[in-house]
Amino acid sequence: MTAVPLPGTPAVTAGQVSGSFWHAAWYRYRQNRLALVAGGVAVMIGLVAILAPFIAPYGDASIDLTATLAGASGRHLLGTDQLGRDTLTRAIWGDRTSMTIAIGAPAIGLVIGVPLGIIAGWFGGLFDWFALRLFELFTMVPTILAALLFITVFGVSVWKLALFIGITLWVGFGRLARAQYLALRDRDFVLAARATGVPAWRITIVHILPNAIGPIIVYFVQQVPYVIFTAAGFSFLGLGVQDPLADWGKMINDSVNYLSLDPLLVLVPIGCIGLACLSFSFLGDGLRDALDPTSR
Amino acid sequence: MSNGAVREVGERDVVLAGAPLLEVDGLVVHYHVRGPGKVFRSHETVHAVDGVSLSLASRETLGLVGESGCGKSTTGRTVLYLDRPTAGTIRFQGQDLSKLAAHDLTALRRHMQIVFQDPIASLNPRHTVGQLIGEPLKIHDLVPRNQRRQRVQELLELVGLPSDAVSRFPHEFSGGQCQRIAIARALAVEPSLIVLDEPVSALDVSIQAQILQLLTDLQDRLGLSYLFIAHDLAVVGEMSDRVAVMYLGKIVELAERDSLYARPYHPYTQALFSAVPIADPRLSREHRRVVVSGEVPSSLDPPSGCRFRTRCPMAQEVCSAEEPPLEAVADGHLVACHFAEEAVRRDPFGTPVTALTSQVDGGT
Amino acid sequence: MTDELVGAVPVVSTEADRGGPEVPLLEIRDLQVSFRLERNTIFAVQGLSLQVRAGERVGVVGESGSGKSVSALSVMRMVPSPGRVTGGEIVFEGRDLLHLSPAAMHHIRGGQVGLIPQNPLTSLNPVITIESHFQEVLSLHLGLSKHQARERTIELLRSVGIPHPATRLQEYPHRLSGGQRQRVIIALAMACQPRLLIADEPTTALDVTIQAQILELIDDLVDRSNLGAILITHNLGIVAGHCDRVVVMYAGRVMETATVLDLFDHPSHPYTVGLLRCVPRLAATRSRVFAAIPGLPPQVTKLIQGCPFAPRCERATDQCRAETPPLEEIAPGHSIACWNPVETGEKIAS
Repeated sequence: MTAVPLPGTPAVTAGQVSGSFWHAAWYRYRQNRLALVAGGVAVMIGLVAILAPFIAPYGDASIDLTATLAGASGRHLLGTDQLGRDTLTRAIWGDRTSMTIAIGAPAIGLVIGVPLGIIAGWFGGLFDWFALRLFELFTMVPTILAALLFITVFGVSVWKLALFIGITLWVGFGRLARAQYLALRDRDFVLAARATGVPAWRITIVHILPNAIGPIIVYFVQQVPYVIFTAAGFSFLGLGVQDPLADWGKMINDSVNYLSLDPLLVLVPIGCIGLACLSFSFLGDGLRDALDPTSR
Repeated sequence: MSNGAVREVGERDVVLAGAPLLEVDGLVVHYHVRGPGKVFRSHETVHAVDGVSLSLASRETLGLVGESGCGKSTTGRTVLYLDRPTAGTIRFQGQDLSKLAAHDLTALRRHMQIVFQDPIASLNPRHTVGQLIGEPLKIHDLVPRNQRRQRVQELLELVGLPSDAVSRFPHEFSGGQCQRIAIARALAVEPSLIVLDEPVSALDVSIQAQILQLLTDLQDRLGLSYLFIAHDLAVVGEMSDRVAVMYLGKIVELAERDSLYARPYHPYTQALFSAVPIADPRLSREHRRVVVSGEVPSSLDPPSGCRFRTRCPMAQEVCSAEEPPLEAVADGHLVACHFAEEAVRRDPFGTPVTALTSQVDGGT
Repeated sequence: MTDELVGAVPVVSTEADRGGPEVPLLEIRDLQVSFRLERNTIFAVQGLSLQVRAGERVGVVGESGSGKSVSALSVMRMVPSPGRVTGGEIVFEGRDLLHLSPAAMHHIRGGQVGLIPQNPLTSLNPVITIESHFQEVLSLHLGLSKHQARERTIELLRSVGIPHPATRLQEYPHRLSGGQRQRVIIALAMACQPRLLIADEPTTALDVTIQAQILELIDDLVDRSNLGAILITHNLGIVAGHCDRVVVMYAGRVMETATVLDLFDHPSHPYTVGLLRCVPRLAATRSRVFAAIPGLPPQVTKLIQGCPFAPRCERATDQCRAETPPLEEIAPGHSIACWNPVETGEKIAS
């Protein structure tokens, strides 16, 4: 019996990065300058949201009636609105509000949609048939109107907004999760796990989910700009957060009448919305390319 | 034949001397697919496997050879109950797989494993080699936790991989190395049977030989049985004790390896032999071969009677009327053809018999 | 089928043309191709030289990473980016292909040189009918009208053995079997009567019985029109049966080149010897011993000093590891790149 000797360590396949999937993904992500910048901005926006109480120059409801509609100055870097509220402060607190909704809503959508999608794929048959019809049913419902309906019935608060918008997002996650599950279930390595006797639940969690998570994360990030914009839209219409809470859409609503007097009042929130939407959008693209280099 | 008594699963079963490890009887696997049509879709049936019977003894290699669509891969997977058969019985270590409860089947899975064609696809890209090989150990609780690491190292050594492979990921390895990882994983549970589904087709020739050598050594050392599935007659010929040739879901010829390669009876087998490129320019040019015409019929609607008749130069009326049974024409040599004897005499495809017997192994 | 072939493909039959004139149809000299990636560079081809004469079939044999496919694509200047030809010459009928204008190169591709790509499944556009595939090529190179193109398409399909060709014109590729698709692709390659045919692993994805049919078809076409052909494969059996000369490549370099008879009778390069020994053969009895080449095919990410096969070679000497052996003729028409070749009749320890 002759054992065939092998030379030392295996050579790294040309062009591939050694290490785990995440390691390789991070490496790919780093190559993309736009994604890096966008990611940095997104992280900053997130940090501002978290640290709002500490970095805002003034309290979240502070009013200075002696300095209404003041332009940019040393005390008020971006000026004040008609009630003497510091614009910069409101922008920062608005960041917190907006981001809570922007992350909370997709999170709710994910939590509802992904398990449903996987279960639909798992059981198949009639169950899957019903799940697909459910997807179709909810797709028919105009999401924004549905959210508005909830608001009128149940009232509004930051968390309620996140919830209502989140509920309308579950279908997208459900479809994606189901598709990923079905695609991965027939792959050779899953078959190999079955042959080893791995129980179905473990296959789903240990084998399938880690491979499916990439597209789900990307989808999640891609929903953020949509939610920011939608929530801002609601606030602009007066159906979003109420005083004394601030969010960017509300800032626009409050100040639109004063546009000619102090354009900053409107430009600042618009800029914030734009920056947040763009950065998360590019972040989503960058993640998509990094997590799945074959998709171009 | 086994003694019929159901033994308790979970003990290390000892196969009775003479009793086959694996017995497959009348295996049928049909898939339903939706036919064409926009509103009312008709249902069509893919006859992937249509009545296959075979047996495999301990320490034996049975080669299963055929071209695409013949059902060999389906047979391999169904024998392990990875796909449910439509009909037929599968007995492993004397136990009828269809009669087992789920957890008994899981426990039995320890003893029968599979290695796939695409080595890289058969390994979860997110898991390290250590996790991949360690998982079967964990599932079947074969080794106490603190000894798992060592066992994984032993397995790596057994298949010729360096010990630092444990923390690396499949994409860092070549095809041949990935196949070694897959083999190590299959061996982790100490199976008695391994189904090898085209284990070397995706590999370079120089690596193929390494893997085949490894498989042979492992068989000798560990007393394994193999169901070796391939489309390459030469590779099957080097690995198998007995060979079954499949065409469109049926076994058309089954014999001891040497008996088959010395004299194939079935016209399709002859066509297969004749089509294999001979790695010798003179023999290749001398060999007057007749290339079989046409293509494999669709398995949605297999021909009546003998399925090969649409391409067989010797086909006659009886071939479409009656399906030929698999019968012995010589000792241990079974053929399903109405004109087996004549096929050998006439040699319609120019089987390179002289080429076979005159080739000395190793070539130059 | 013989009668039907006449008229579809012009038959060049003069004796003087058979076996080729003095000037080779295609000459590749010291070709270098590399792929510049983010982290490293892959030197896919490091000095390939070969010649093809009219009527001659040259086989290029190698395993994955040997550079054989890239070489074929280079002739058509179709190396996928980020690959680039970084050196050498490719001369076709006296013209330097590497420096042709894009317009002239378009004319060559499909017109003078036909390519049979590797994978029949993906080489046809799934949303275009068979007829449209041909129409595109025929109007581009031969300027045929729709009607003329249709007639010619039917002839071509018949010449590659597709039954009832007129009825297949409107079909989409997925309706055809693998073997039929490969025939269509061959017909496409032959459509404009090229002088040179490049077949890149034309039968790898096919069953062995279909493979035999396709190879027979290619042989037939080459003979009738006295084409030059390059057959790229990893299968030595195909080379033995369907090629006149062979080039053995490894890690982007030529290891040995000879006539087919010479290569199989007197293989001199240890890699060739190793390959021949480990090819599985139909034998009357089992040998139970597998002569393998130990080790792994190299990653050609560095310009290697010394012979690329040295790490796996039983006969490697210090010189082999230090200096790259040049390709030298050891017998008429037989060249190898080796410092320590195998002598004829020498026994190699297994």
